[in-house]
Amino acid sequence: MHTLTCKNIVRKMGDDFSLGPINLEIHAGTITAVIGNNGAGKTTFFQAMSGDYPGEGETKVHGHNVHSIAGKAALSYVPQTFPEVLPFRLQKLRDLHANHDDTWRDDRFQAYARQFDLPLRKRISKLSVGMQRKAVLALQLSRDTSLLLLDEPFAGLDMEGQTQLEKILISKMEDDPDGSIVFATHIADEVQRLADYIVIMKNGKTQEPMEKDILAQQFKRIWLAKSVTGVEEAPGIREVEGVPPQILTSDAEATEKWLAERDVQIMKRERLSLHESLPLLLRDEETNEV
Amino acid sequence: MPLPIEVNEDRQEPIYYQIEEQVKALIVSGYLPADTALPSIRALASELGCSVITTRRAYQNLEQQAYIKTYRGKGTFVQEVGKKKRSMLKEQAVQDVLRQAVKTARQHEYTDTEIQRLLTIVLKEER
Repeated sequence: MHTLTCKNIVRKMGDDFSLGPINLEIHAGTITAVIGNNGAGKTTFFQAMSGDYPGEGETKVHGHNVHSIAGKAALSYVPQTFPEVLPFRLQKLRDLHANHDDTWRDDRFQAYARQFDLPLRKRISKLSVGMQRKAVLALQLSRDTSLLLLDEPFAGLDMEGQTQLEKILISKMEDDPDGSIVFATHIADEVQRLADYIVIMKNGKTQEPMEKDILAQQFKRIWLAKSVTGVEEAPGIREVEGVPPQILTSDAEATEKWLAERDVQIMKRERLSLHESLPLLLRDEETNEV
Repeated sequence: MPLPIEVNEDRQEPIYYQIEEQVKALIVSGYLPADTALPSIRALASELGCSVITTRRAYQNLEQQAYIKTYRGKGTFVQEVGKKKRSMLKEQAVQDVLRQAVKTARQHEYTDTEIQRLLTIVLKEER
């Protein structure tokens, strides 16, 4: 079952950038991290998914077009900037939702407001950047929706806020096993702790979602017992260093098969953390494009 | 409550298998008695830094082998494990650890006699 499907999403942004075409399916009950270097188009993509404005292609949430009322009611969107809420007091926005939004869950909002220690009667523009984000998160997470689109939700949050948000997102997923979260991030740790799938963005296009744990198995550092000729050309090899060599592979299975065929003894293997493997993946995309 | 298990990234076994084996060990040892509630697949995934795809697979395998049972909307609970099965599994767990030690010794090209000599030393030391 899919929570979100994007079909041929295209947005032309002036002369020098265009988004898409993007085709993407997000499974129910999963958390997907969208990663990409600055300028890759993540924010434009989140805007397109959330139905910010019309364009080519079609996005559906649980089968409802994202521009329809049912579609909009099925998703929560926390953008990176939110100029439209800045002039208001949080209490005012809460009242607006409570009176006009069928998805509103006031018990949740009160809990988040307490947890985040949010001032209800100050203008949001007067709050610190982190507090502003917490305010918008509290508003959107208080809506009972099955899809959360979060554009860098942890940016600007203090450490306590980061831990709180992580817990909130996980308990939301526990309460609604068919819900989904799609979030953009630059932080490998957040991917490690939250994501099931990783989507790489580059030049306005998305790649197929990758299972995080499969990715983790493919990137390895391997210590060999002795030198072996031609190891630089073995499948998956990214780096060869030192004598006896220590090698870095992005396709551990193929590399180990190659080594086994040559009877090379392996002293130690170590999986790469996402801190190391994600930058390699992002760099890859760049070289592939040229 | 988080489970006292950890996945070792550097071991060859897949992560779901490591989770499976450690949860089994906790059940067999009696640390997790019957009817204990286990963390949800989402909570466990976040504790271990892996995906729900992996934790779901581990739980499905454990359920198939009748160690745990999931009730929709309620959660996942430890099942009763019989005495006979328990002693068999204990033996298996010890064997697995010994096997790992033997593999390391063989990597260093020790002979069987040498390995037995080392085991005798360790047995004496640990008395």
